[in-house]
Amino acid sequence: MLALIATLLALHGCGPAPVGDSGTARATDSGPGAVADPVTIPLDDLALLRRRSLDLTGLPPEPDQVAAVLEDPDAIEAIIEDMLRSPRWRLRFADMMAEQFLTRVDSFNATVESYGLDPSQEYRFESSVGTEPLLLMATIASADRPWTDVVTVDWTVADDMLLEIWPLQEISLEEAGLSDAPAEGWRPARYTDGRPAGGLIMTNGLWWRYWSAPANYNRGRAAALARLLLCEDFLLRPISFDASSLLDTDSLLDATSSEPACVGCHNSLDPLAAAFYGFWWFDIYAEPEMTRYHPEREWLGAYYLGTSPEYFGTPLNGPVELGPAVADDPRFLRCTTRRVAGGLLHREITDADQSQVSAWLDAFRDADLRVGGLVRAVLASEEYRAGALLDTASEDDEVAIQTLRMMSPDQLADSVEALTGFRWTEDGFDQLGNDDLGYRILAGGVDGVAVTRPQRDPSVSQQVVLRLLAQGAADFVVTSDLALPAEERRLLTGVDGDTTSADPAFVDQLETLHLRFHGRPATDDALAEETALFDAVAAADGTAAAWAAVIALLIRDPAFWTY
Amino acid sequence: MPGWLLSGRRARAGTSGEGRLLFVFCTGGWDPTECIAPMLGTVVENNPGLVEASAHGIPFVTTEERPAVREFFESCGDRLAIVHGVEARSVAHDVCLRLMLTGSTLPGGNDWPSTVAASSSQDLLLPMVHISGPSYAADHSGSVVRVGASGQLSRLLDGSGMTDGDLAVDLPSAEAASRVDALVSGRLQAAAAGGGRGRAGQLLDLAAAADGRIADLIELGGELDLSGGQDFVGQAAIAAELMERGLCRTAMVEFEGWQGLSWDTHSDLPLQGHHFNTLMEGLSSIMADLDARRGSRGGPLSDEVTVVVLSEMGRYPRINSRGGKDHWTFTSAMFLGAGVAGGTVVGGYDPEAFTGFRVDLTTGALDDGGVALVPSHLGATIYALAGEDPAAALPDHPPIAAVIDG
Amino acid sequence: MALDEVLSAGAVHGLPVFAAYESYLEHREGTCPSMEDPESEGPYGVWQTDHCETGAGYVFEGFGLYLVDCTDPADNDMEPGVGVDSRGLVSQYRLKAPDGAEMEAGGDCSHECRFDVDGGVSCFDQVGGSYRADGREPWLDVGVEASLFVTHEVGADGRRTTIDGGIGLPAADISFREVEVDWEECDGLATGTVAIRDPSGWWFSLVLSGDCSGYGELWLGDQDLGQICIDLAGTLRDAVAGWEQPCWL
Repeated sequence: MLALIATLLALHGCGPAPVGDSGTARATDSGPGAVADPVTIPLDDLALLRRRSLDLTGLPPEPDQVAAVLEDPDAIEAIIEDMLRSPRWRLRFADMMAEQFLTRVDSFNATVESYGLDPSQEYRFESSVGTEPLLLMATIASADRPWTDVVTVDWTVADDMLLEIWPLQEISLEEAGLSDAPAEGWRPARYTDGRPAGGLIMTNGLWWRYWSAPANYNRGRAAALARLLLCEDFLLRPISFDASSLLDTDSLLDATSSEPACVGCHNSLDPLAAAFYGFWWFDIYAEPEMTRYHPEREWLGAYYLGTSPEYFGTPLNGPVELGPAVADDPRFLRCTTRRVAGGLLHREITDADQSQVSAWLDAFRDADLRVGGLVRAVLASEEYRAGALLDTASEDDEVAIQTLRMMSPDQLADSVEALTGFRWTEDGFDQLGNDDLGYRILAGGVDGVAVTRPQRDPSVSQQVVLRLLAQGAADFVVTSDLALPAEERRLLTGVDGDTTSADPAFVDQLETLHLRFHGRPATDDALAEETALFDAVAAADGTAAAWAAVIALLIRDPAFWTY
Repeated sequence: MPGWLLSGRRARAGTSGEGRLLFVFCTGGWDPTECIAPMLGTVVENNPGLVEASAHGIPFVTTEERPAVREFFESCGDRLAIVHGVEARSVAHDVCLRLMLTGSTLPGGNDWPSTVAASSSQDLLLPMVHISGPSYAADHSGSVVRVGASGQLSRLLDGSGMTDGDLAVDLPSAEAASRVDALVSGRLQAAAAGGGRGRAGQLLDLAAAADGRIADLIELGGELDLSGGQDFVGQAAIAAELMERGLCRTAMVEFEGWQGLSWDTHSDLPLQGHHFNTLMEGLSSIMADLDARRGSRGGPLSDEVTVVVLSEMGRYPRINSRGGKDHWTFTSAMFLGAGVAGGTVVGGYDPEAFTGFRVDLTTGALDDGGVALVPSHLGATIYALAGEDPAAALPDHPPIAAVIDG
Repeated sequence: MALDEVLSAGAVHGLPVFAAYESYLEHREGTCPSMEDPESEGPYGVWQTDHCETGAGYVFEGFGLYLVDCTDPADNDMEPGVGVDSRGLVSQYRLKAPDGAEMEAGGDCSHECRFDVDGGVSCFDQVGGSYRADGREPWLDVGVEASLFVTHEVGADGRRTTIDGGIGLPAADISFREVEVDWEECDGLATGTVAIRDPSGWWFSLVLSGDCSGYGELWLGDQDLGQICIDLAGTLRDAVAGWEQPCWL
């Protein structure tokens, strides 16, 4: 290990966004995002490994991965393949989609009490419901299955709680065509209430989030489907009403088919809304209504909206044909491309990205609609690999290209837990995963309702969250981890309570910590600072507190929470 | 005297003449005709028993069961301006929220309070305080300090947010924490110095700036309870306290209606009455609180803070089969306090169609050749009240001059 | 076939739901359940409770709103001569009787008949939601998912019933599209479309012939599957006849 660290130290410096040599910018040599004249300087190999690791697993790279890349930079490609096969990719994909699908909200119309469950299960209840559609997508994305399965399979994913409270029956991995479980505690399952196959668009989790008020007649659900799966947002078009003709119910209903301001949307929206009446609730807070799909209501659109189900002009013989219709819609794949690329590039993909989206879409199709093919294409793009801008970069590039990213609350919580064993919870609530009493939006996340876009920049609130998280996690390490026999420890494996800064083991431990937290060796200056910190705190508060101080510093260092 | 005042490291909001704004957002879509926009005897249907009244030249409707409404108009009408007939241009909650606060349907915009806060020429500790309600701050997250609807920031600052957690942990000694803080600051500043052009440099600059505020914020948390906001009045009091101390320029609080039952009354129109009564009671309390606090110029804080009361949409003029009202694109807004031409009503609604009339922006009078009001006019007015240049951000939408005193 | 099983479970309409609800609420005691209006009597009014149990062993959980208007034409000052028999029930509850019988419901159920001075009757009946009550009509006993809207008109131009919406029973899910029963023709001539759902989600449409045979053509999409016969009028007959009986008599 010492020899390896010495090699690392000799080869690499440390910084928040270490970049490679622009003259050997491999990032611009290949991939659909490649351009003739590069405008960026790519990250160096270790920084790129860390970025990819955090984007694909939500965690910093393992030390052996760092060592492998240092030994052979091309090893990174094999590491990516490992990551794309790992269960962590599934969780990360779900988290990435959570920022866009916004299903992880703090409350639904039904509560934990509606099902007679203990109130202490509230967080788990809300989390499980919101995670169902996300993890289903992630399971398809990580399995060797075409993405169109997301809207056509006749199963979903469920944990023990959902299996208990919803009409679900667990099915085998073989039946679902999976090689391993979707996530720890989650299994493939099939609804038993008669709902047709349709994957994501037949999940309770999606339509509990996007429920319909009585007077909305499922239009909100239709708009949500178009927005989420087709990137076709009916609601973005400002409209101006000729309101004088809308003042009685009949003319209001007529207006949706006759008023020019209304027709454009409603001609498509209403027949699509008619396809969601199996999810229609006669009482929007009644648990039996919310829990079950209602097959007998599938044609109620004719009664309420005056139209039978259609998919953008194509009649549907019931919602059973909705999933296949989405799967056949070219907008579905293009939208998926935009969502996945946006998640990996940490920005909104717009119409200005048309040509790049088309190139990624080609890669997606070339991979037989496996999401992995799309992901590889985005990861290979110049923009993804960018660590700094060249002088040739435009002002638009300055804004758009995320040469450095901030960890999301999910990434932060998962990374800290992976390294220290500490998960910030209170009364069972994941404090970086809720906003009732927690700190999700303070840390830069979305609550799915009032705050719907992730924060890309640090703020005072985010830094305060980070500070307290670092303090708590660091103390947890020294009180829990350090108390274990060395061979059982997670982090402080090379020292004990008597180790001083003069011991060789001390520097070894520090260097290992740097590799673990920052994915690269420490600089001499950093080691000197941390040694001085250790000595000062050890003198005042003891060795354990000194290690806690060092760990807190490593977590708050921008080399940890940015990538 | 707290260190951040003694040190003089930070400017105090208000001392530069930059206006301050407290936003109260009524989420769900209010029905102005149930209180602030009398439409009795028109195409609009209302709850029974409403009677029209006026105070300080502002007409309103109320009932005996809503005493706080009359009290509010009588006590605050002389510094209240109401704008009617603003067309949100959508009837979907999400989109109307964005429109009403950013002027655009597009995601990724910046709302009025965060834009004003970010425009401040001063280095404020909490440029915008987001306590509850909608927030759009794509480019201004460095200016927005989220407090949390249940006072989460307070628990972060005093450490109880960690020590009350499920895993037993101890916080470091003050000296150890201080040593770590100093090293973190050094590393952030060094990283920012080398951040370079583009997003990396911007992100690290913002991180260093945010980190530079933590010590002051912790000190503030030790003397000010940020967790006291159990309702919008309490949350507004926190914002007022921060404004009185010169620490913040804008704030957002949400009022979800009486007992949190939402303004989105598709099936229970009588709730609007309860909501407005509670809103007006709260606004009276907020104004009394601002009156009792001292502003930076020596007078009451209410002379320096404008309260902006918004909802994302109005409600359809007819009562539906469930005894409620559905969404409507036309709505009203209220401006209260500093810089506001009191006793003013701008615009109005067509009694036959319940659409907004065009107005003369200067006089506020109805004018067929005038302007059809949209949320960006409210935004421009907000900028003007804050002392910012509306034309820079919204060149096509002049402010409603009639709302602005003088 | 499954269609017959659904029809043999009886006519789904609001009155049996109200009767089942009343049979539990009649046993309320004091503040169990807690009524919004403490002065309200019998089963009528609004209540909400997480859980309570009466001394006699009746258990109430949830929320209920039940309003009844039975106006004798002689007492109708607003519309002289018009009688009204109207009930509305909003359900979000689980009810238990001491003998173990239960009623569980979520939804919105209403029934209104207006009786004109000239003898005309005009009714609208809606059962929307999920309902199950032990020991009641077969469809209610097994539990029904319903979204059924029925009108019934008696006047100078005849006696007609229209049906839209759907019924979901363990046996099958069926849907009514613009179904009309003309009671003046062959003791109940049904027209319109009744559809039955295959468990995988496909719908088979039975287009009623409009003659007195009771036969209709069965279709899957545009594929004609032949003729089958159902007795829709037989299922409905007693129910709508009951609606014509004023509550004040």
